[in-house]
Amino acid sequence: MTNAPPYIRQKDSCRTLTEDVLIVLFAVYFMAVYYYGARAAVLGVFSAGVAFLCDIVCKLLLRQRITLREHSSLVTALVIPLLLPASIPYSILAAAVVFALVVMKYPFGGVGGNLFNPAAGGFAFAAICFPRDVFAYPTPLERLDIFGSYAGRSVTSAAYTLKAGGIPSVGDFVEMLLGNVPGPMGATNILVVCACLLYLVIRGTVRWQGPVFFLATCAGLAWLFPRASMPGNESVMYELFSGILIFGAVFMLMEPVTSPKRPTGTMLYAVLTGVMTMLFRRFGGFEEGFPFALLLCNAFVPLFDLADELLHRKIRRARLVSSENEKAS
Amino acid sequence: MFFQRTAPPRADGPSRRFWRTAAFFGRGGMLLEQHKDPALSRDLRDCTSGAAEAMDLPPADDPGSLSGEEVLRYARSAAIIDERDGLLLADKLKQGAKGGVSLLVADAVDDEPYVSSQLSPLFKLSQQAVEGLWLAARAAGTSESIIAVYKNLYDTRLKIPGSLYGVRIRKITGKYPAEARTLFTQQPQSTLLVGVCALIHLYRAVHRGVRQTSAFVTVAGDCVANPQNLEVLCGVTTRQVLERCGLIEIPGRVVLGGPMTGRCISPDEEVPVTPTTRAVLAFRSNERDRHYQCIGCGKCVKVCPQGLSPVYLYKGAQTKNLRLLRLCDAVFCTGCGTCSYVCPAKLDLSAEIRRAAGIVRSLDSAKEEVASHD
Repeated sequence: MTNAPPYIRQKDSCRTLTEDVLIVLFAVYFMAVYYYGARAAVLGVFSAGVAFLCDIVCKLLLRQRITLREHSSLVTALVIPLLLPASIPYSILAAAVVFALVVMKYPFGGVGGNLFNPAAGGFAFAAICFPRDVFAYPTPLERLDIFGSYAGRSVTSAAYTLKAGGIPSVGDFVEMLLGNVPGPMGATNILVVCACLLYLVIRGTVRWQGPVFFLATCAGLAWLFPRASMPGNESVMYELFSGILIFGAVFMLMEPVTSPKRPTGTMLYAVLTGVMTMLFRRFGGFEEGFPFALLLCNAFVPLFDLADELLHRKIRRARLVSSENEKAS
Repeated sequence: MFFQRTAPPRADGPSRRFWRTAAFFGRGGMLLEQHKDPALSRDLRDCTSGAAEAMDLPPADDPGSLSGEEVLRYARSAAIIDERDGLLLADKLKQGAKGGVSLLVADAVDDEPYVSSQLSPLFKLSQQAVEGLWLAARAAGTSESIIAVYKNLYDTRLKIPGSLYGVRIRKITGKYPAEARTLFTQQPQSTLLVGVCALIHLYRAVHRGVRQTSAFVTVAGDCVANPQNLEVLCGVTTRQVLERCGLIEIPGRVVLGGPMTGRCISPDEEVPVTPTTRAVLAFRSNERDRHYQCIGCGKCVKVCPQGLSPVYLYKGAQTKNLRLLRLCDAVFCTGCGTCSYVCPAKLDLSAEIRRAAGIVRSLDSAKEEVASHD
């Protein structure tokens, strides 16, 4: 208990901030279970368990207090399986989660200290090391073995077809909205993810400027430069709805630790990430460029913040000087 | 300074309204839960038991015909202190008359939660307040006067009328801190802000010939059984005031003044009520408020009414980084406490920044002194 004002505080805490994200992640998991069976839920639980162990080990090594009140690692652990296909082997998932926490998060000081988004780092690690497993997807509504490896026929996603220069033929607009297309376990359910975004924005957990400017940039670039010979609006639809673009915009782009603090900087950051993502998609080696673009742009966030501070310093000074002049006159 | 640049209340052109709206959205601050209700809708209780001290001037026979000078004499002789800033009312009015005040504002803003010790007298003793305002306007040499009331009173049963005995009530747009944000800015017209309680005391001095011996105090908080507004004699201790309203349990902390900016005393301490004491609040100790690590969510940046970034200022204060503190303008902090209120990590942002700003200020003045010696 401190004796400094104010003596009343808002009820929201860091815990409720992360719990907001957890609540909407459960909705996404519900859809994943609907499309891929119980394996989706077990993947999530397994990932959470690995994250819990990593948390304890890292906190012991760093001599931090071990606490169950703080769920940011849990959010990272639940986001990673949703970026991967439901058929992903447990060992690869474990490797991704361990990399995300042990390499991307705790060496920077743990909660609130990380420079790069841990979930994006974990995904990038898995994608670079095991591209064959990470980019091969089972067909939705097919029951998968809960344990053991996937024996069925893997298919490619719309993002792969776009990468190869073709036009995806995965079904119509409604199917893509509902997520009934092959793709990452959680990222294909566009409607559900958009509802999550609405909830997070209304709760004030996510600043709207980030996702909106990011998606607008991506859509604009997709409309101007379609990757295959198709009309602009079709290109926009396929680019936005394939891969993890919208999911990433909701759950990864605006992670509080690694995004700018002011709306002005957030807009710049979102636009830059959008441009980088589309460049990675067109010229990169993988079908999915968003996590790599995000990691790259995270490195610039301190610069955006500094520029923002200088800008607002100017604004403050201008306001102060003008009011002083008025007083003098 | 109690002089402020003001907007004339009626000249609200569309462009001005636009800029005011832009400033409203751009300048942070936040809506707080007001918790005013039990105290504000109950009666104002008089605990002075009729004690009054006559002053050396007799009550005025015809208050309506007093000149400004005479009103000033009454105010000085009654030793009325303005509860807003602790200055003598007579001094304020005199300076206002000298500086050419064109608008006198009776301040009943009470923007902090729980506190309603200006609103309650304004509506319970409205005749005294309004006549006091007329007298003060005469003393300040102006004919225009309005009453300023906080707009964000959605949880009270009280309906705020548009005017009181013909004096316009202006509702100040609603986020905390109201004073730093919108009140009266950017117009070549000077305003004098006077507390409502001081005006009531001015009325009593002129009509009854008594000195100011009492203060209006809100007693509230989650340990108080009957939250109420009291009129108590100055010098009564906080414990006596709390006992009058009944305590449900032993409070963990007692706060003098508003919960956002007030001063904390221990529950055993006996501190006398002064004319500037606006509230005595008793809270449970919320030991379960735990501290987390800063996750950089940027909420403090969003709400800061001065447009500062408390997150970096706090970092600068923690690491004693003078350059960062200067870059982020630590000295612009007004200590309103909004950043600490909103912080999800429950950090003591406001207190740390105030302390660091004090250090920066004293270093700067020391440097100036050295420079002037050279």
